Amino acid sequence: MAGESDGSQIDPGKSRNIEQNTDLTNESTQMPNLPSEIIHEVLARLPVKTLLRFRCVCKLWRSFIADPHFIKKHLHLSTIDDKYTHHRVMITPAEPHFSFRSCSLYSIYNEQSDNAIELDYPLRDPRRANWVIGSCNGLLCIAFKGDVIIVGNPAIREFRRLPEPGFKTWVESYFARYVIYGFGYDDSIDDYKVVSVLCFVRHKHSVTEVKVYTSRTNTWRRIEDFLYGPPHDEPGRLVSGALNWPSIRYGGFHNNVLRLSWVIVALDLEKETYIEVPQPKYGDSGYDRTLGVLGGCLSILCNYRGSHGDVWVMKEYGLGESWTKLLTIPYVIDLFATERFPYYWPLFFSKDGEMLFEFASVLTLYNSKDNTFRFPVIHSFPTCLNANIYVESLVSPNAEDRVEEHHQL
Amino acid sequence: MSLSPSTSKMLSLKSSDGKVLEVEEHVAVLCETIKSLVEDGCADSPIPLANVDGATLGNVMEWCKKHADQKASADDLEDWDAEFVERDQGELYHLIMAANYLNIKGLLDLICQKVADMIKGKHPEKIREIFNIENDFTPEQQEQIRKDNSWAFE
Repeated sequence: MAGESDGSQIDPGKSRNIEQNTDLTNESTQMPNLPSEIIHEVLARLPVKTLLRFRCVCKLWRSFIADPHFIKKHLHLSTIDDKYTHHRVMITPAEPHFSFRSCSLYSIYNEQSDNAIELDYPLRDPRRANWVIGSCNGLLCIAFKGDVIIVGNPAIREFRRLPEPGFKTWVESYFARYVIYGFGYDDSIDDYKVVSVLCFVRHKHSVTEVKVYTSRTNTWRRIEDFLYGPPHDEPGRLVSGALNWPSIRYGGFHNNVLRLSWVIVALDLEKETYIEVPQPKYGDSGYDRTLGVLGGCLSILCNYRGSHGDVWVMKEYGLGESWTKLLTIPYVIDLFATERFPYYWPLFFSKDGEMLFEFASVLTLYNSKDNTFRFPVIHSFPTCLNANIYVESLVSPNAEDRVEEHHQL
Repeated sequence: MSLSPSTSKMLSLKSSDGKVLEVEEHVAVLCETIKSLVEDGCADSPIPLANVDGATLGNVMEWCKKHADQKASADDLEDWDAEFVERDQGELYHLIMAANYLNIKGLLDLICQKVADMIKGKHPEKIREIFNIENDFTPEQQEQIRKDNSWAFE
């Protein structure tokens, strides 16, 4: 009987016929001859800095770490890691504008004091304001005043300056002119895109020019003008391959008053078409809304000034019925309330139900289970203008590298 | 009381060093390798596991038993797992090989994470010792890699 079911029959067809290595005489050689699929699994769980260091262990490890499939797997595991050891918070400080700082999300949630690290990046200029547009797959997109944009991966310290969008539209006697951006990944071409929207606002309408940058071609293309308009002056929020902006829809005149409504407009990065995203059934009226992303879902914080804020998430992107009220945060902290009505800006919702948000330029945690607030201690941490969560990855911002890898495959 | 039937069928598993372990079927099938055997109706006799020694098999089944327990909460399992992987490198090595051979994704993920935490930030020279890897770079190549990301070596 045993002769018919030996080890090789238990494991048909798989490369698991590993001889057990019991030779552990060498004290320090305690994990000899691990199969490469296990080495892969172990490496994919390491921080980026360690992986850069391990590139010089041997040629095999170096090629593992450079492999595009490995980089994707590492990104995936880092993104779903529920201890958040690969997540960081990038802060745009109120002053000075050019000095971004980041700290670890793990430290924030685990009450470990952390030092905020200053980001070293090209084109830093104390005279020029800049801000983070968004993050995706470990890449950060940073805009500078004057249509200058860079995309970079802070974890591997690689940055790339993009060509300027080169807008053509000009409108006389406008009320306001501004450019907004969005940054995201188009899975269909395995490449990132930057969207740039030039907005001119006049009294009763707006004019836009929209351009899309694709990293592989390193060029901007004009696409259809913005649906409705104008979009608010804030970066697009990336959810399910679409960038989402709060926007204004003009609804004609009623008793001589121009009717405006707050809408969400999404640009599908693959199709490059717009849709209007349905909103929750809020219940009460008379509120301010802010758009965000929590746990990969589009979120809306609905502020009832001075009283409370409702956080809604759209569980299934695009499906109006899937809007769910995640929690309600009371406005009870007046410690920092120098502004009249500071808003909560939700940044992250942990698996334990603790919400990280920015409130009156300070990072704050709110636990919905016991209705308590915490204030993480981070040294060298500036008051923040805004904050972005990103995951440390090996993804290179330089499209040429990826094209090269593509050819090799 | 428990969702797992008290009359769960028992399976015999035979380790490489000839030890036979009686394990409830709903526990043992956490090993995909064993599950396929059961599904194919080939699991009647003691199942010989030629690549797993008795001590390791005992540890693996302890893990499977805990994870087959429907009453264990996620938090409970997390704490239990953290304690389970507190072992020396030798034991972890045998567990990782067994988890791979028996195709237990949860256990493999757990131990790979533990090994990753152990080697995080270590010097490449130490890594070569632990994994018995030969350095096949020339000193010049080695130096170039260090120079490319010198800050990662600080």
